[in-house]
Amino acid sequence: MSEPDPAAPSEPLGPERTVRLLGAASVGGAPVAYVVVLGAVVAVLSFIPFSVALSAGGSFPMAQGVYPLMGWLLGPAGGAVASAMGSLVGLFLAPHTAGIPWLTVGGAATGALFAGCIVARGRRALALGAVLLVAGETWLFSHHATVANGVRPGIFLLAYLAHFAAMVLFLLPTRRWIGRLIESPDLGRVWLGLFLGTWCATSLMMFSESFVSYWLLNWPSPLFVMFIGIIPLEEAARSGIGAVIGTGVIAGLRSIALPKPPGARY
Amino acid sequence: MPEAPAARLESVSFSYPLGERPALLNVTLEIGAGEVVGLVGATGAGKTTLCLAFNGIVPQLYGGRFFGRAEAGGLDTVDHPIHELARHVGIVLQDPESQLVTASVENEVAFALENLGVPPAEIRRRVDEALASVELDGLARKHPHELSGGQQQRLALATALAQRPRLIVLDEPTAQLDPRASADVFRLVRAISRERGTAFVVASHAAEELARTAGRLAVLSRGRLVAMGTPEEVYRDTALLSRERIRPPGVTAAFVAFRAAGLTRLPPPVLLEEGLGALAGLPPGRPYAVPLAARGRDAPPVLAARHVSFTYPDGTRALDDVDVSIGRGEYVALLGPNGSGKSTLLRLFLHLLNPSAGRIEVEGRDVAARRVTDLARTIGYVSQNPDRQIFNPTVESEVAFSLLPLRLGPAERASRVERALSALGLLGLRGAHPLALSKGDRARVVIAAVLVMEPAILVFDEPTIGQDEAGARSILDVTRGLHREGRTVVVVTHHLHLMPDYAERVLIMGRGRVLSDTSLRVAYHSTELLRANHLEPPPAALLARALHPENWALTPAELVASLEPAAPAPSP
Amino acid sequence: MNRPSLQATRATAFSALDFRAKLAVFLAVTVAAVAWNDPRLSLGLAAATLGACLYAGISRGYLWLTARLMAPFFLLLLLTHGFFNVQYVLRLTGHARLTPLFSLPGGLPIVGGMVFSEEGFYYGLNVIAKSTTLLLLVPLCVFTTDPNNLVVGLVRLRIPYTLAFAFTSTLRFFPLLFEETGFVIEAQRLRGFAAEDLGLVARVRTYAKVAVPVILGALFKAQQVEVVLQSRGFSGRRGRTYLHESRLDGASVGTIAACVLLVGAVLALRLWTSFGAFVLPGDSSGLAR
Repeated sequence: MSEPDPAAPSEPLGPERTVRLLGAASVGGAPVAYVVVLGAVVAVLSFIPFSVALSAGGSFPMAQGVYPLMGWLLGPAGGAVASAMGSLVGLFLAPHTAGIPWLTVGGAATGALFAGCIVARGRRALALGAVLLVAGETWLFSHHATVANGVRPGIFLLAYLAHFAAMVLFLLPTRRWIGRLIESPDLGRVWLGLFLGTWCATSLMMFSESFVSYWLLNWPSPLFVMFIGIIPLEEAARSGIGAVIGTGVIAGLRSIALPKPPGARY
Repeated sequence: MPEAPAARLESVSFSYPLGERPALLNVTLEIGAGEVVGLVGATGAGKTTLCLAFNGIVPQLYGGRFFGRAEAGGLDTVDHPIHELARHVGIVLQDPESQLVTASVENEVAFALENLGVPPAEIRRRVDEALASVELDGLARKHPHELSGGQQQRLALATALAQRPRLIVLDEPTAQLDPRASADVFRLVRAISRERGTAFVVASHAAEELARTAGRLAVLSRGRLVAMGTPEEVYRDTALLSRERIRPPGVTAAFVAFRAAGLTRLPPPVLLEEGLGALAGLPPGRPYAVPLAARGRDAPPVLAARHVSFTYPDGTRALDDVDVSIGRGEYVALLGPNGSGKSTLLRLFLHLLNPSAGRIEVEGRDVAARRVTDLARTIGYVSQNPDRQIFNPTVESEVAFSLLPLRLGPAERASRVERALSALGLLGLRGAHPLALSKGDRARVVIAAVLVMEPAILVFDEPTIGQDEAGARSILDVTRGLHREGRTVVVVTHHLHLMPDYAERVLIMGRGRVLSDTSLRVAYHSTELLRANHLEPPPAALLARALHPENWALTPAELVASLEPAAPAPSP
Repeated sequence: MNRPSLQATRATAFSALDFRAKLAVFLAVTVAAVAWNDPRLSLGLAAATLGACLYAGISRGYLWLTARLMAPFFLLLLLTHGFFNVQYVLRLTGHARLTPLFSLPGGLPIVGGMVFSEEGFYYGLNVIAKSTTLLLLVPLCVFTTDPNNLVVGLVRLRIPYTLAFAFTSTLRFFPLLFEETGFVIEAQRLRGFAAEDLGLVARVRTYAKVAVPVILGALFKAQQVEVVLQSRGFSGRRGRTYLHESRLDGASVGTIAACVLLVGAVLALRLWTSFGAFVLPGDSSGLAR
């Protein structure tokens, strides 16, 4: 038994087979297990408050910085489900960050969906849908605030300047450029791409959430003045979180041979 | 008419998508109805890949290139969906937590049956039956997270059983369990195989248990099936074992040494009771003592627990009046079953917890006044899962990361990093991503990252878990090197058989108390105490005691030395 | 990190309802909360929701934790609306001027002389009550449901099993990853990292670095979990059976019917009358919706 066989062939002897994955469950192409486990991660990160600046609700959870990352790791549908599931579980445990629960959950999903549009190629239909949605929200929100509630247009613009700048980046070919940065082999470019991409995605997400919550809560006009200073700071923090975490994760994923979901873009 | 085999592989080869070499090469293997086949081989031999080939996970889930034919329950694993193959093959993996996907024990067992469309009444019957088979009845409504590791693995076994497959594959099912839980799993495998006729394939490094459980062993090496035979045939083939770095059962190793010394001509047994019975054929035993090394009792204590008790918020009394000190430069092994208080004691030393009573001292000072982060420069801690301690994209940056809070100058920082990388043999890997390395190398990275802070005390929490023999010894060799430099080393472990070459002193803990604080040799011969605390004494110690009550041998070489020069052994 | 217990352990008539009935309650009360701006109705609804939570056995510790954490936000809301909500509440109430409750001393810098209005106060109360209702509805409906029944309930609502499973499985994995994150944070501290000693940027980087091993470790686990799911026949296809059934009993059907009526009534009253519009207590002249 003990002697190794020197004549053992070093090439496969059997016929090569055609390999296909037959009948697996997925969420928008992302394996269910990936969606589940990353959803649990989002839930955990929802529990870690990030008190860089106070938003209208207090400190915001670290998870807000990774919703877009879910979109890049799992694809828009898988990322949206993971973010939504995670924030739903997370809001039970960190109610101080929830605000309006279903808005938080919906917002988490849109963060990943918007990020799913910020790719080097493809997903035109999704991007078009995002553009139309945001355009509609912008018109309705600005009208409600300025016409119905007397907020000065200049104040409204300044309050959401960071978000509007992100919308411009999203609309222009910069969206594709950011997607290419994220897929770059150079980690420095990846960092930049993630920073800008997170800024775009979370800006659109937060703007959408603000639109709905303003319609529900109608906060008074002086609050918009406060937003001028707060929103850019918050967006910078979210973008920083997304960039630091995302770069670390993508660097790790590129080094290890984990099967990559079909919709992933890194 | 003979029953069809449970599974069959014909000239199966497989390469992962980014693999440099085939993970499996021309493997031909048949698993007979109702038999138990063990898979052995060094880490990287292909055991896990082979396990996953039985139910189509390899190649369907991973892609890559697949050659040959694999069948389970008569179905080709490449041409049939995995969910169909699940009716014929169940699987239990190494990590208990990751394989439980629902929120209750009964739902866990029911999950596969629901997926397979089994009617609800039948699901209920099979759930109850499966839970009873693995002795988890009464826990049906519990959340899986509330179960112990051993219970979780039994639950995973129940989920596979409920599918009523002809074959259940277990991939290192006990690698993360303590000895008692490990024994329970193998006991259940034997019982189920006997009572239900289910075939099993078990990949494991647990030689003693495999010898007792498997009817045949398949030896894998770099993806090839290089040997096949009964446990006796495989474990007696010393050249094979040496070449493939496979550890035989302790009793086999002892009798191989006896044969080599001419003390017996009996073929080495693979079961302890056979070995104990075969001692009669050996020369008569005699007292055997080994000079005890000085224990360094006079050395100033660097870690001390002074009448410490600790109770968790839920009322669990984890430590009860523990009074122990560890001197500078000692190497101490901390043994005990799960729940004995080992981890709690460690966490108290690290000041992650505060004692309910008593005092914890590090280097003579009460830790109560010291921050965890400051203590980290004195006590380096390496956890059992090195991946939890990896934060950076390269080996070098990971090691340097530890120095950020110390605010050193660039030259000093660079110098310390170089020394740490060199000490752990990582200079050639400095630019690699830590997660791309093998588990053993990842452990080295974490050790280097801890070492760079130049702590005087190093604590290793289960450093050998999930490693094969060679990998485990490689990590322990590092600890020995650190000890020889004068550092104090504390290792928490279940793997008693590995420690004789390393630790001098052993603390045995049980039910929150220090039950024994002696030299390693005395501790390993306290067989009743070890067994009472669900620790398995090394076979060499049991053989030594059976030879003579005053025989303190711990290794096969010492056993040989302990026997009188023999007259020629009688013919068998 | 301390994790509060999620599941309500008391068996009550509400917890015995089918999940679909609870979902109907959720939707109906949400509609009412959104539609009503009358502070009396909003406060009454919030009180009723809180009462339902207490009755249903939601942990008092959890409710107290929520109250403590939300208190600063609610105070901010009250002050904001009281001091700054002018045009909107004037339009809603039809008043020509706001009714001052008190004003800040004139000598204070920046905020000196600012007036806290009664209208703003009541509108603030309305917003607080709304937020409370919306927040408490989630634990009321989810914590009182056995996770075993949650999946089946969702599937009976025609939600794809894959999504229903993803939700309950996320609940299952949360404690595991929560613990893992705790270990990672601990590991950082044991490498000498004291967040309190770091500047803002360094703190951001350090905190964020906790997430990297957690996410990568999670993805390793995910690969294992995918193997497990596949090995247990999970394919998302039709024909799946369920150990636990979800049946609509009389109480559940009645609850759903009542919720439908409630929604209809709320919307009809809101659209065609001023019931639910913002109005000060004792003031019947509310105009705008």
